Amino acid sequence: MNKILSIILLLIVSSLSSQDLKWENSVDGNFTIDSVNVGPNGDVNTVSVSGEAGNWTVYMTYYFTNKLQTEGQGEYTAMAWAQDGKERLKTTVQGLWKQNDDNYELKHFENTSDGSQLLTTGLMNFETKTYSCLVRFLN
Amino acid sequence: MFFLLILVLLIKKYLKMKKLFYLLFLVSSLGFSQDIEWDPKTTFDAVFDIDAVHTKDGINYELSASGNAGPYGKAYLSYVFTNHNNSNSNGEFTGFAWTQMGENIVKATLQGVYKKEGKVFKMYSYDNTTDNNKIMIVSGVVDFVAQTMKFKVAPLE
Repeated sequence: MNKILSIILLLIVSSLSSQDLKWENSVDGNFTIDSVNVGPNGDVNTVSVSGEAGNWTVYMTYYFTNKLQTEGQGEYTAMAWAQDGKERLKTTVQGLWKQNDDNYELKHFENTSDGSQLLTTGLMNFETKTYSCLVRFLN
Repeated sequence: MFFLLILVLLIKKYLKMKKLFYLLFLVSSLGFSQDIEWDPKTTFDAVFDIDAVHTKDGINYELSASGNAGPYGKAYLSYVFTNHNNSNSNGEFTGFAWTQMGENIVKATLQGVYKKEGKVFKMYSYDNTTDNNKIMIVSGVVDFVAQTMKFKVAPLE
């Protein structure tokens, strides 16, 4: 009886405190860092990457900042342009970066020109010049 | 005797299933999936009133809001909503939060996307805070008629 009560309680608490973030489909993205442009004041650093995400060939430009001078982490915006045969897609990106050992963890939301919204997490490595990510299609 | 044996086995199986069921609920309540994880126990509500909205170009909108951000106390938010893809229904935003709880001040940058759904706008955001560099994942609803913003905020683990 106690277990049943605790399960019901857990369900209620979970549903009350749950985030409204759901997805079913996702694709892997694998990119190469093509260029890095360290800004003159070091406050905006630009990184260009290109690669594949699912069937899409993607070009992205990131603008990394650290507006509040937080240690080892900050924020970024980015623009992406993608092509899959006749199809074209643009996305705008808003997210956060965090230094983690020899990688940078990237987490962001994307807004696509076809009305979809994406949740992406990935790792950027400036030594291997790679960026790998998982792109989730939000419901 | 045979039926008794079957009954005992069924009860055992039922108990095991119950434990498994219980365990599954525990696991599902503790986190999310893949590399985005948070503990629902640390999720808190943040509720704001929209104080002002203005635009200078009819495309980008600036919004000020104030309210309560759970453990961070009184909070003031400033957003800039943009629409780089020229969509009628969705776009992106950046912003800042400033909060005070007694003597403690915490600031955050806000960045994410929005989408119109019926009468309201849904927002998803990542927030970078000065509170021990905690990163928050945020989802919520903006109602411009009721002038409210209601969010669920969770520190990422």
